Order: sequence, then C-alpha cells, then structure tokens
Amino acid sequence: MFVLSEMRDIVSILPHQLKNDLKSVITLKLNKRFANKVIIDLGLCICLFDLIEIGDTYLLPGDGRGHIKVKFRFIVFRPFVEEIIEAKVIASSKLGLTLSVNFFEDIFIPAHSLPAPHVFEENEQLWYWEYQQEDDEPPAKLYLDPGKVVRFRVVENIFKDIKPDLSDEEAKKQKSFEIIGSMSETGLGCTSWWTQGGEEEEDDQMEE
Amino acid sequence: MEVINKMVTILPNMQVLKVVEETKALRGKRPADEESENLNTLLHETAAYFKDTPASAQKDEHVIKLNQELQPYKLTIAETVQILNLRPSTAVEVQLVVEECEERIRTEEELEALVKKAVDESTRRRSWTNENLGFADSKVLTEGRREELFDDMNQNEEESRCFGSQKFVSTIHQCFNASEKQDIPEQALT
Repeated sequence: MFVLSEMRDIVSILPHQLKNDLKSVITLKLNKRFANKVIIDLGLCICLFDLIEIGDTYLLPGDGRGHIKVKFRFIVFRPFVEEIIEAKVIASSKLGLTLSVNFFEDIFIPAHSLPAPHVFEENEQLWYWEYQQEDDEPPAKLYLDPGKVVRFRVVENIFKDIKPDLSDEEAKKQKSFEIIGSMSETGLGCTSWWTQGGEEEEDDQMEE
Repeated sequence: MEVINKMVTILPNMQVLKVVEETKALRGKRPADEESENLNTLLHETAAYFKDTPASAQKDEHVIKLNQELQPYKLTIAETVQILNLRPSTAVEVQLVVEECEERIRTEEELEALVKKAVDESTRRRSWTNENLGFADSKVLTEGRREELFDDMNQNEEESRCFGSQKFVSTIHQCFNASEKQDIPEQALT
C-alpha cells in the first residue's frame, strides 16, 4: 500500500523560527507542504519518514529567510498493481462501487469486475452477488451494501493533471489520483464471505 | 520539488503507523496555530484505518519473526508485505496474495503451514466496529421495559469488561507512546 520515496526540495525558514531546533522546523514545514497532497505519478503523500541531508543555508539579498536544500524520504500511498487491499464500501451506483480506506476515497470498482454473476437492484441501488448453491435451491443473494468491509485487487492507478482554474463543480468531478480495482476472483469481495464465520452464514442462508 | 527515487522500498502498514504515531506525538508539542489542517486530518484518518487492521497490534519482533518463518517459501518482498498487512487466516486468502500459488507451494500441507504461521494470535485483527448496536429507547416502565433495563445492566457489565481490556490496550499504548516521546528529542539532537 505504502512506498517510501526519496525527494529533494528547498525549505525557507523565517528568522523567528530559528529559535527552534532546525530539524523539527524542517520536518514540520515539509509535512505541511506535502501531507495529503497528490504528486502526479507518485501518489498521495502521507508524512515525512526521515531527513537524509540538510544542505547549507543560503541568504539572498532583500530576503530575511534562510533557504535550505534538503533531501528527505516521504511515506507515499501508492498501491502496486495486483495488490490486495481491504476497504469499506461507501457508495454504490449502476456504474459500480466506490470504496474508501478512510484517508483515501477515490477507489472505484467498475460493475463488470464485481463477483460474477452480479445483479443490480434498482430500488435499493445495491449490488449483490448471486451465489450459486449446490442442490436445486435458489441462489443466495450476497449483498455489497455501503459500510461492508471488502477486499479488492488493484488493477490500475490513474493520475490526472488537474488544471487549477476549474470551477468548484468541475473540480469535484475531476480526480487527480484514482485507483481502479477488481473483485472478480475467489477470495475477493466481502471479507466475511470467506472467513470461517462467513461460511457458516452462507450455510445458514442455504438452509433457509 | 524533485523526486529522486519513486520507490526506495515498500513499507508494511505497521511501520507507517509507527511514523504516523510519532508525527502525532511531535505535533502535540507545537502551539495550535502552527498546526496544519491537512496534516492533522490525514494523520487522524490514517491512524483510524490502521486501528481496524492487524497493523495496530504488530511490533517489530512480529515482523522479523514472520519474515524468518516465510524464508523457505521464497516469497517476494511484495508478497511478504501483503501477508504482514492482511494476516491471511485461510488458504484462499494466501492464494490471492501469492502469485501462481499452486505451482510454488505444491502441497496442501505446506499451504496450511503457511496459513498457521501468518495467523499469529497476538496480531489477530480486531473486527471492524459496528455502529448500529444500540437499541431503541422506551420511556414507559412496563414489564418489557424492566426486562430491557435488566438486559441493559447485563450489557453494561459486559461493556465494562470490554472496557477493561480496552483500558489495558490504551495503557500499553501510553507506554509505547511515552517511550517514543523520549526518543524524539534524542533524534532531534543527532
């Protein structure tokens, strides 16, 4: 889910901030600058891991700040393709499911990669997996409703450079980082389907 | 800003959680106006996600132990990290994580052994919290209501027992944090 990325940047420090320990000032500045930001082709920045190198401080004429070149490592959220991740369902529509890992909510499972055979219930706006049972009983309906914990496989990480001059509405639709996932495999879907307790649940449904 | 190396290494969830907790503790020392909204929200949300995953219970020694135990299977780093993050408890889950599982882990027994190693009692996940557990409030004291009250009391008793264990966890957490807080000034000095 997470990777460590090495980066270089220039941090400017105001004179009054020099009274504090230099390392913690830089840490704070970098965290403020990058935390919760998406860097194109890199991922969602979480927080600073460590500082590798703190360069010399440069003073420029007409500027009271000290400019420091720093090399550091940042924790970045960028799952690799094929990775299995657990997430919660937060929304479902005819197009598919939207999942959330609490700090990141642009995970989308398109309808065609839900566990097959899948059916969409128009009234409730919910997807369910028609679990084929042995014997001639009708198939069980295993629902994928919002709030459930599911497991999915990462298919693609999509990065998009979003222009800063968009209106609010346009900006809401655009996603700078989106993860496309799939659930069409044994073991994927609701976690409770596959654990011991889940099997019992399924058995119960079969009995019904 | 310039990215030098897109991926130095993959980080297991527990290590991310450790740094997040450290950053949180560090942040606590700063005056409120210096805090960044983005950072706070993100740290909080990340920690909340990990709370429900096996990462919250893992320590360095668990990682080292599992890594050693998985050596004979010749798994890739990515696969090992996923086993650490998910702690698969069934063979199906292992097959998801390990590529071409049938060819690499040939016998059922080997697979079973791997599952056993992956599921460590001490790192077993706590189930995701269910918010819809409360029951309806009734104002009239009827026979039914009295029974409800009794049930309530029973439940409270159970809750307090649960709370006891929670308290225990939080105490451990405090100890853990305390040691971290002491570590930070040292780090700052070096």
